[in-house]
Amino acid sequence: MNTISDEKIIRAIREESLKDMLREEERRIQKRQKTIKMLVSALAVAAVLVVGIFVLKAKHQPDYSVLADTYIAQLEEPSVSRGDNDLADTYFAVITALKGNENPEKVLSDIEAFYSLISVSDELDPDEKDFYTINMNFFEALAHLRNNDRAKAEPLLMKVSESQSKYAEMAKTLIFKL
Amino acid sequence: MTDKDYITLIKSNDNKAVAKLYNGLRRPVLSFLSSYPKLSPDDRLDVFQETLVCLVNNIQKDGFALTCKLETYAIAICKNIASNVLRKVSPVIPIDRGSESFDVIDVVDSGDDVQLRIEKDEETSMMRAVFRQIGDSCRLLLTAFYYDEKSYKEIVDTLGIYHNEDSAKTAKNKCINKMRSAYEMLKC
Repeated sequence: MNTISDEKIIRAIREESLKDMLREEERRIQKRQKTIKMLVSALAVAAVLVVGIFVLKAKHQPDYSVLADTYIAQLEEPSVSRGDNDLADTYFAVITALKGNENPEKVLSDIEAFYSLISVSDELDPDEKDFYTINMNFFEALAHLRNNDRAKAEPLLMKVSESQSKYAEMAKTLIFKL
Repeated sequence: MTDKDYITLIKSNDNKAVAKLYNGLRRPVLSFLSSYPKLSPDDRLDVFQETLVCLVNNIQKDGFALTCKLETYAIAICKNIASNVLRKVSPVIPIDRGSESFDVIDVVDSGDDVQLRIEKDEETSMMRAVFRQIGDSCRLLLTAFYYDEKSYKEIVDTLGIYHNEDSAKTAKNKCINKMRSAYEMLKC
């Protein structure tokens, strides 16, 4: 009887053992691929969620300019420019610009001009300066809200609401509505 | 790692190099096998694994010299094994996986085009089928001795099921005889 040689037995053992090792390697590769797939899916879901939240947030961004308009309508009518008092003229020009729905950037530029004038004015005493400055802070807050910039408006409204300004109550109710 | 590095390491029985080669050849060979629609995904994996087995065997033979890219050579082997497998494909007879041994008989190499003639070694193929069925303890022992090339002392220490080297040696010989008997029965 021709029996199988030792060499063939050993070859069979080695080949089948190698095949077992390769099967194990294949299992490792497939597991790794599955993990990567899961990670990619999870990242994609996270990305979609983040984008979705941003989109929803942008969509539901409140329109502060409408709110600002209702308060601008309640501001007193500006006095006619006298031409000989830059400070007063600038003050009332800001109110005119707000009521006239002028470009918010232009309004803010006029407000900056007022702050510069009042800081160097020697016609007003400190209390008067504070009085007009705090009022102007309120106008500035309204201009920022027209620009939908709540972040800049809110601190100014807080300051006005805590002052003796005639606009303090308006500032308080406006903060509540934001 | 270059092809030359792989060959050097595989000749010295470096399993890590074989695993790395497996990873490196997996995509090109499976991509090649995708042109055989009659082979299922499992069959393609099996053909790829048998290709690696044949490739490693050849590399470890004395006088092996590679005259083309390792990938080209692997695909040439794969082509032949796939043809062998496809000859057995039928709706009734399932393919017997993991039991075929191949020998590279002729190599005609013209640069990137390698033509191989591969012959199936029936006896080794049958013995592999026997090895798969002899039981876990024999498989572990014979793998440790002939594949991992561990000494009897290392086998006693790592497997922890033999009292001493003599009992490991006796068990190994029993396993070999068991394989021979099973093979003889299969032949009949």
